[in-house]
Amino acid sequence: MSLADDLTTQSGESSTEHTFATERTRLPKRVWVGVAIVGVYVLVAVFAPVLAPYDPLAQHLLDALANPSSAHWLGTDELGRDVFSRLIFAFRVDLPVGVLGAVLPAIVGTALGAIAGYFGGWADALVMRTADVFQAFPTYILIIALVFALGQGVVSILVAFTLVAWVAYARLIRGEILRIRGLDYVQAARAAGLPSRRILGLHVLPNGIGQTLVYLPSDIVLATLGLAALSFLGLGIPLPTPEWGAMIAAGQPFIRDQWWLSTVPGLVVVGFGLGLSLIGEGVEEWTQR
Amino acid sequence: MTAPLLQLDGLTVAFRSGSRALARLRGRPASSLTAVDAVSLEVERGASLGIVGESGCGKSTLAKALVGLVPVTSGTITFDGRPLTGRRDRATQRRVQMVFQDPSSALNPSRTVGQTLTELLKVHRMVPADTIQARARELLELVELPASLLNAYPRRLSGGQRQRVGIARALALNPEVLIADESVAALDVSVQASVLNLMARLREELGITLLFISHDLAVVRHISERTVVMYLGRIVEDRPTRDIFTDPRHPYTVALLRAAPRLGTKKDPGSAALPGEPPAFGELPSGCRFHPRCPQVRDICRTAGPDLIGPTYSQKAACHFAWTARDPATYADLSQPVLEIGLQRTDAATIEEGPS
Amino acid sequence: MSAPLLEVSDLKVHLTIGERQVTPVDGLTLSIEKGGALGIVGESGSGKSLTLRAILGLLPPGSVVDGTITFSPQPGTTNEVSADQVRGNGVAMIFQEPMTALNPTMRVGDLVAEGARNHGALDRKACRARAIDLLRSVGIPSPHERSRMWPHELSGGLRQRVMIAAALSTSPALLLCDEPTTALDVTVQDQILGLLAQLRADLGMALILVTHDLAVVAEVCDRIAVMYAGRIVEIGTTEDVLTSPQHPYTAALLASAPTFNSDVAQPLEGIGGHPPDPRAFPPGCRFAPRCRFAQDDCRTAVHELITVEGHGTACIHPEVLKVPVL
Repeated sequence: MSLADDLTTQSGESSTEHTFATERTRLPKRVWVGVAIVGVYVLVAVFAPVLAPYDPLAQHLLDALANPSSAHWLGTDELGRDVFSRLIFAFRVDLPVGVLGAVLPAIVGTALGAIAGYFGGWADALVMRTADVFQAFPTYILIIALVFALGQGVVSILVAFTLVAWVAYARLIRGEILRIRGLDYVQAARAAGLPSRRILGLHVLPNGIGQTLVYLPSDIVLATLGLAALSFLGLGIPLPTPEWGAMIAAGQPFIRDQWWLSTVPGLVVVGFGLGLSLIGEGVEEWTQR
Repeated sequence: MTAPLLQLDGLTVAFRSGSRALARLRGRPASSLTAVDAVSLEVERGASLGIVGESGCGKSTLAKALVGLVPVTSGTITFDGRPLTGRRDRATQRRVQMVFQDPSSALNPSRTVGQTLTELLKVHRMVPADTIQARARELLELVELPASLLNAYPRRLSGGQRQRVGIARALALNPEVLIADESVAALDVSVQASVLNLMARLREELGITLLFISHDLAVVRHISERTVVMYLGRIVEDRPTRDIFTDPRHPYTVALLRAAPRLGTKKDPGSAALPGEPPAFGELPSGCRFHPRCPQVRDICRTAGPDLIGPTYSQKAACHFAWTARDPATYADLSQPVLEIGLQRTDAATIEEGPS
Repeated sequence: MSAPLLEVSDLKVHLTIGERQVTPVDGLTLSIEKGGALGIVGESGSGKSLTLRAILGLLPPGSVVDGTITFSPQPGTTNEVSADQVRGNGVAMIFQEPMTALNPTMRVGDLVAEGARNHGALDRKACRARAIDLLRSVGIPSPHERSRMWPHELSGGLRQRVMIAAALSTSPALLLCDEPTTALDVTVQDQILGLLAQLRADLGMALILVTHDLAVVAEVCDRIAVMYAGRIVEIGTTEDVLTSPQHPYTAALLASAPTFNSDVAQPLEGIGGHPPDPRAFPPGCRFAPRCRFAQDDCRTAVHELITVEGHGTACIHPEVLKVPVL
């Protein structure tokens, strides 16, 4: 009995199998919309000096709190700095810090959680109990305390975010690894004598990272908002560096007459969040294929 | 008589539930589950051994212990004259491989078939680096799959194809022993037939020793020369397949045979009349473990566990009354055909074959 | 001859997968007598499970069902019914995986009493008593204690019995069984099949048993329908279908299954290729691409069951099987 024609029916319709398979591996459209939005943000950050008409730090005190005009598209702030230019240059601060503020915890948390999940025993107990300790603190209190202790600045903020946010990633990946660990293809890899680190890195992690990738874009949004909140509290990026949250905070006293000073940076943050959410949702849909 | 390839002596695999340290604090021994209980078995090189039993009998755990996936609690495995432990070097690890049950989880979904195969070839340096691709193609050919599947992801394959890739993967390391753990259970009957034929053919061509674990008695009868029946972690019968099916000696084997659906022989539903279910592991019966359900139970069965013995080296059963005299026709009805199943084709040449 | 208990006419199930509409059950016609036992046998993709679910209306959202279902539990009345009317009202169903088919948040006794409560206006105490009776009737030892247990505390065999008890609580005239013993051990399977046979004898209940296992069907059912790619390709009494199959697919299935007397020296005969994807059924006879006897007119054949003395086949060339056509 010829068994080699498993792929094709006798009438040679192998092409139908092929089209069904590739159909499912394409990313949903919304991912590309999200990527486009985020892409625009990245471009703005990269080309900030070209796009901004003024030096964001230059003060024109006589021209403070001017209304939007052809000279200053978004007017000036209380120190006479061009708001539009500050907004553009803020992209250079918020984007990297927001992204790193999620990616760094992701790397640390995933690494620790993977070791805990795969090797179990003492490693698992150690990592998970440490996670419990960190998680017991209210998030923002811990961040504020760390930034206070380490001083203001990007590095402190990133360290604080990492120390707080790694727990979620660790738990996420650990759960997935516990599930995957028992699957037959992992058993087969062990039976074949493949070294543990290879199994973990090449067989287990790639299949378990799906949830993490879905969570990551939302976490970038959270990190950006976290940065904005810190700035609001005066603990974020030190002045006079422009940053969306700082701009929102600074515009607060003038909300009645110069409402755009707070609102426009706020909308920019929302736009960023929207783009990332679309990516996150789309990736989640894709992992369900 | 040459030494057997594989020899198990009092092999025991027990799993501890709960932490040993905590139990010591409580002053009680940690509860454990003995999945494989003092199993002794010999397998000749090139043999085809079937292992049958129901859930909880320990057959899968036995397979995993042989492949090195679970640690052995006590007893020994001797492979080719040398002891086989949990810690094996790569060269030894290669020699015993396994094909798994569930085609949908047996292959890494994020790697192509080719990547799965070449990884093994590379890590174990089975062939020189420049011939790895060619060897991967050869392996697919061996399991009758087209080379184009090298670039396919598992989700694109059918269950039967995935199972064959699983066999190719096990064969990539040129093992001497291949363990098939319920490898055809999840397949359609027609696909199962082709995979079984494949395994039989590979065994002949490559001289592989095959351990075939299944709950399906008709399948085991077809593919294995010798069969071992397990119940609650122990072997209860160990005999040539032909004999088990015509003259079963352990009451559990009899019950299994009576209960198995089998085409063409007389079978009334419920005819095995084996009451109850195997006890939970915490409550192992005294004496013979089967005695609470055994239709022929006597007093001695409750107190003394029977040994696995028999009149000759290759005939063993673990029942106090296994070898008492009996009428050879007692179990003839198990295989007695009452219906002639399928076509009665006496002359294949008279069938018209259309264009294919 | 009295009207059959259940008659299904030209049943079709349309599903929407992605942007495509597929018809995995394509024109099914069958009937079952009061107290009869019909087995539906097929491999993956044959549509056999969907057929059962269509009768009870348990299909995924977005499905469309065509065709008619006629259920006549009382002699003299013939009702064309919709699935909603039939569910819990003379027709009940048991499933393959007792693990997932029983609500894990309900105690066993409550699960069984549910049906009784909805069916007749019995008070709580009476329902509970009936539940315990039902558990006893399906062979569950110590039914009173067991009724207080949770599903996860029971073994697979016991859970399946609970499922049967729950199905019986509505006093069905017809029990649909979707692979009821596939996930069970051999000895437990034997017990459950024995129970089904006994209930059929005691209660006069009819059975439709869907499975991929020919031997199970041979044990329990008096009639067999063989499904392939959404259609019935052969139907007849168990003995007729098994001893003189009139369709090459049935013959091939029988040749692939090892039995207790098959010649172990002969390799089994599998069927090359695999069942067609419902999204791309081949024209004409859907088995033709894999059939060793296929001829040119098979690829344009219209599907129709030709019945001779109660034995129906959809094959237009059954003579190739060289057995006297009845």
